[in-house]
Parts: sequence; C-alpha cells; structure tokens
Amino acid sequence: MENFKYIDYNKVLESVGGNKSFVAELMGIYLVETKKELEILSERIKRENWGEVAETAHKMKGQSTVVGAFRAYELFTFIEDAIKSGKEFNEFESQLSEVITLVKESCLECEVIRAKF
Amino acid sequence: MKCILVDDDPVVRKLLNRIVSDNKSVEVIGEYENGEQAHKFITNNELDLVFLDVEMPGMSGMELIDTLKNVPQVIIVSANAHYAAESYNYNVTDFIVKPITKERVDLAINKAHEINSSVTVYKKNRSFIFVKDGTIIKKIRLNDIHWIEALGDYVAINLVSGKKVTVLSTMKSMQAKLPDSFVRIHRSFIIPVEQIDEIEDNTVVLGEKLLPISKRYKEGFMKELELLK
Repeated sequence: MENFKYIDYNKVLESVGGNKSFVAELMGIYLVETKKELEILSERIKRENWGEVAETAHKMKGQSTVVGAFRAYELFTFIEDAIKSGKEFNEFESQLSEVITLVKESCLECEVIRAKF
Repeated sequence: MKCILVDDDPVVRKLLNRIVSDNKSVEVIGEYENGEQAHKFITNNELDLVFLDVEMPGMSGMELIDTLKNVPQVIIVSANAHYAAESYNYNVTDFIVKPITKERVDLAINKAHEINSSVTVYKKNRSFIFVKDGTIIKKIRLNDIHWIEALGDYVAINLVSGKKVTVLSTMKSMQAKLPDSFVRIHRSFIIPVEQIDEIEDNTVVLGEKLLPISKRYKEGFMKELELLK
C-alpha cells in the first residue's frame, strides 16, 4: 500500500472497495475543482470577505475528506468555525496560510497518484 | 429502491454515486447540484430515497425537505455534525457525517430498507395497510386509525379501539404511504381528517384526544381542509 504525506490514500482506496482507477478518477475531479476553489479563496481573502471565505472553507473541507486530506479538513473546519464565531483574522491567519500550502501539496500528491494509476 | 443525490460539490457527488451504486439494493436515478433542481425532479417523479447535503447555494437541504410532501426517506450527508440535532426535526432516516465511507452508507441504506418494508400499502385495496410490529405483520384498516405519533425511531399508530401498534418508521415515510386524508399537524402527529371533531385555535379534538397543531404545520393543515384559501 502506498504512503503519502498529505493524502491518506489507503483510506480513500478502502472507502471505494479498492478500486484504484476510480480513485485516480476522483482525484482528477478534485484537482480541477480545487484549483477553482483556491482561486476563489484567494480572491475572497484579498477582499477580506470573511463570510465568503467561510463558505469556501466549508466547501473545500468536504472535498478534502473525499481525497483523504484530513489535516486540511481539520484546518478548514477550524477556519470556518472561527469566522462564524466572529473571531478576528489574526486568530485564524496561520491556519489559513497552512491550509493553502497543504492543499497545494495534496494536489501534487493527487497528480502522482493519477500518473501511477 | 430508487434514489437521487443532491450535493453542490461534484467531487462529493462522484464518490457518493460510486458508493451508493455499489450497493445493489439501491438505484441512483439522478444527481443534482442544488435544491431547486432536485425539487423540480422530485415533484415530477417517483422515488424512495434522497441523499442530501445541507449547505448548498440557494435552497438548503432542510428547506428542500420542508417543500417535499411525498419523499418518503431522506439521508443527510454533511460535513457538519451539528446539523444532526436539527435534522431530528425533519424526521430524516439517517445522518452521515463526512468523510463518506462505504460501511456507513450501507448501514444507512439498510435502515432505509427496514423502514421502507415496515409499512406496506396494499395497492389493490387502499383501505388498509400492512405494518411490521416486531416479527408480526399486522393489517390495519385506515378507518381504525385514531392518530399517529412519532416515538424516536418508531411511529405509534393509535387505534380507535384504544390499542396501539408500534412500527419502525419515520413520520415522513409513514405519511408518504397514507392517503391525502391523513394530515400532518405537528412534528410528532399525523391525523386522519375523518377523526376530527373540532379545531380550536391550535388544538385539534379527536373524540377525547386533544392534539396540538404546530405553527410550522398549521397553514398546510388548514389549506388541506380548505379552511384557508
């Protein structure tokens, strides 16, 4: 079984009954959607539209679970909850920065998986 | 059972479709990315089950449930566990917290099957239904039903005779199997119009039984009786 740093590949494989080509297909869709959402997220952060940032975080956390990016899921959950409970930007700034890096790394791993399988 | 999937995220829909389709007891007949599209399909087609996200642009999952009279069963699939408590008010069959796993989806589908088979309408003579009370299948004449009450995962069918039959079901699933002459007046009560003696303010009188009409169901109830234009 493969070990990746940002994606729990084995768990994803298990959730779909071991179907590697399906997982590769799933990751293909994730890559397309995540690219779009990352652009939207960056725009919303620039505009400091935190309500919309929370919306995007909610969407991306769901997507993260599909590809086994569980650390990203935790961070998006933290960010969404922080914004909804009225916390200031400096209280979730580091998590936002970390999750964006994580998602990009996850995408790279998804590309490796797609290339292999 | 025929089902549809409703989620604004294409990645989630893809995974859910695969997992649900792998369960041969259910057929996925459609996928929708928002409540409005799903609503249009559901009002024009027959189906048994909806897998439904909560947070979607436009109509939310809960708002969609509210608009649907005849969808028997709903399984909510959400990234937020705190919606589970709220979903109780909507009589959903099950609540799955993401990440979605095959094991969890299969469990939810099994529950839906159990509920689906607990009440059967005899199509050749719609004056009675068959219900599973434990291992016994009982025949209940619709005219014998006094009122129906939610009891957690079960529904209690209270008969005019004073007897009670308890069935594994949701109120939504029960109502979908009864004729239009059975009306929902409260999250916890369905009543046959035939048994109504009086309606006073927010109370309905059925013989010696007084039942509350909730704000949420009052308008629909009064319209159903044609007391509200």
